[in-house]
Amino acid sequence: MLNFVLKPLKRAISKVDAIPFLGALSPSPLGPVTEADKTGYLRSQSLAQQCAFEIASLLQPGWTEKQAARAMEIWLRDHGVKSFFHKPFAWWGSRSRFDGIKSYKEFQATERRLLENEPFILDVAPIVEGFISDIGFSGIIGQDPSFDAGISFMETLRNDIPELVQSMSSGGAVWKAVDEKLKKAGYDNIHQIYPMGVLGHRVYKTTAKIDASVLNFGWQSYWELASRGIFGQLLTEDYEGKMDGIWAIEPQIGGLNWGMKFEEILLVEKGLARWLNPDPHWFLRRTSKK
Amino acid sequence: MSAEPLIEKSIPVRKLNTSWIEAGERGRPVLFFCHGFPDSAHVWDHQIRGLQSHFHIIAPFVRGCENSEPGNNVARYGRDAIVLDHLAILNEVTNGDEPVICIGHDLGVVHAMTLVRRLGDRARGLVVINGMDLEMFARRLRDPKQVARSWYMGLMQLPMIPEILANYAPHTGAWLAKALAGGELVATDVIGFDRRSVAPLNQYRAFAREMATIDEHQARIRPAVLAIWGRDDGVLVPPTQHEWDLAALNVTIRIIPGGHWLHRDKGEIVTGFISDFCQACLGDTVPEATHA
Repeated sequence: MLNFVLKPLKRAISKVDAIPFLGALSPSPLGPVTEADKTGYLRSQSLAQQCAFEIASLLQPGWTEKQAARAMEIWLRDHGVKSFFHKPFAWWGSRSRFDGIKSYKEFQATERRLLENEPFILDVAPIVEGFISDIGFSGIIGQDPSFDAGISFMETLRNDIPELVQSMSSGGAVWKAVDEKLKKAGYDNIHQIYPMGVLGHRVYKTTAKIDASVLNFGWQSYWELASRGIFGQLLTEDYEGKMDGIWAIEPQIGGLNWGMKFEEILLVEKGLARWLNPDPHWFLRRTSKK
Repeated sequence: MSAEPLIEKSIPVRKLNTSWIEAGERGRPVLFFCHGFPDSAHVWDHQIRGLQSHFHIIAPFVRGCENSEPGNNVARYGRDAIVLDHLAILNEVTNGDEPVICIGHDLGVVHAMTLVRRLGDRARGLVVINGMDLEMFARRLRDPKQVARSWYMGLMQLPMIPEILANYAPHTGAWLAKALAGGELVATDVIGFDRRSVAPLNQYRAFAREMATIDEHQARIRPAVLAIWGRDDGVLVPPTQHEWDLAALNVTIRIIPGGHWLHRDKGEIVTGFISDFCQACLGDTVPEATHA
C-alpha cells in the first residue's frame, strides 16, 4: 500500500541528487571518509550490535515486541547514546516477514508476544558521538531447521555483496542481483516491502545532538534524507548513482512464517567495497536456557 | 538460623556497579527478593537466613542503594531499566534454567512483577508483600481515598525538596515512614528516609513517568501468586480478590495483623508462608521440606 503510492513518485524524481536550499543547510557536510571516521562508525556499529546481542540473550518466550524495543533503547542510552537515526524495532515470527503490514505505523513494535521456536528480528540505528550506524539482528529461541538454512544463505549472501557492488554497473543492478539470488534460493524479498523498497541507505556523521523523533525515526534521519535528496541516499532498484560512500545494507528474506535480516555498514571507496566489521555478530540461536 | 554475615556481591551492569546479597547453593531453585523504599536488601535478612539452606537466594540492592551505583538519569530507576539489572544478575549467577520465584515488598513488588513477566517459563511463582504493580496502582488512584493516602508520592515528584529533606531533616522522613507504616515497626529496623535514600527515591519519579504510558490491559501473570498483606498498612489497604484477579490468573491473598513492613514485624510467619508457597510451586525440585 505504502509503496503503491511512493514508487511512482520515486521514479519521477529519482535523478534529483539533492534539494539545493536544504542541502546548503545540511548539518553534516559531505567530505572524504577519514580513518577517524571509520573508527567512529565502527564504534557506533559495534555498540549497536552488542546491544542487540545482549538483549537477544535475555529474551524469553512471552516478551512483547515493545518490551524488547524498550530494553534496547534503555541499554543504548545507558551506554551514552543520546539520539537515534531510528529507535529500536522488534519483529516476532510472521511479523518479521512483514505479513499483514500495510502502513508505516504497523512497522512499529507491538504487544505481540514471542513464542518458543519463533524467529525474531531486532533493528536499531543509534548515533554514537555523531556517527550513525544501523544494524539488523536475527535470532531464534528454540529450533527451526528452515531458520538454520536461512542463516547459511544469508552468510553466503553477505560474502557476495561486496563483490556485487564492485562488479555491477549501478546500485540498482546490485538490488536486482540480490533479489534474484534470494528468490532463486526460494525466499521472498522482504526488503522490498520497506518504504521505497530499500536494500540499503547511506549513513552519515552528524553533529546534531538534539533528541527528537517522529514515528520512531530521529529528526536527523528526515533531515539527512531531505537535505541530500531522498533518492540519492537510498539503495533502491532504480538507483543509478555512484555507490562510493558509507552504506547500511539490509537484505531481508522471508521463509514460510519468518523473516531474517542482517544490516551493517558497507564501506565503498574508489569502487572497492568491504564490510566495516569483517566478522560481526548478526544472529543468535539459543534455547530458553542461557 | 545462621548468624554469619550475609555475602554481598557485585558486577558492572550497563556501566554501573550493581550489588546483591547471595546465599544458598547455586543450581537450586532461585528465590529473588526485591526490596522497597526506604529500604535495602538487608530487610530480607530473616527470610534469607530461614530459606538459604534449600534455595539459591538473590536479593539485589535497588539502583542507588548501598553498593548499587546511582543512575545518571531518572529512567535508570524505572521498572524497564531495573528489570534489565535483575536479568543481568540472574544471567551472572544461574545456569539459565533454574526455576525462579520472585518476592517483592512495597516498590519492590513493581520490580518483582516485571521480572516475572520477563522470565517466561522460568518464573514459577510470585510473592507480593504490601505492594502492587503500576497497573494495579493506577486503578487504585481512581479512588480519592487512595490519592489522599499516597500524598507523599506527590512530594517525591518535586525537584530538590525530597533530597533536601533526606539530607538535612532525616528525622522527618523517619517519622513519616513510621507513621505511614503502621504495625509494630521499630524505627531502627528500617533504613530510614535519610541521605542513603536519596538516589532510590528516583523510583517514584520514574514510576510516575511510566504510569503515563501503562497498558492496564496487559496479560495476566500466569505463575501462582501469593499476596501477603499487613492489615494495618497506612498506605495500601488490603486488596480485594477482584483487584488481583485483574492482574494474575491464580492468586491467594493472606491478610494478617501487622503493618507495612510485615516481613520484619512478622518475620517467622512471612518466612513460613513463603516456604510453603515455594514448596507448592516447585514440588519435587525443592531438595527437602522447607519450614523456617
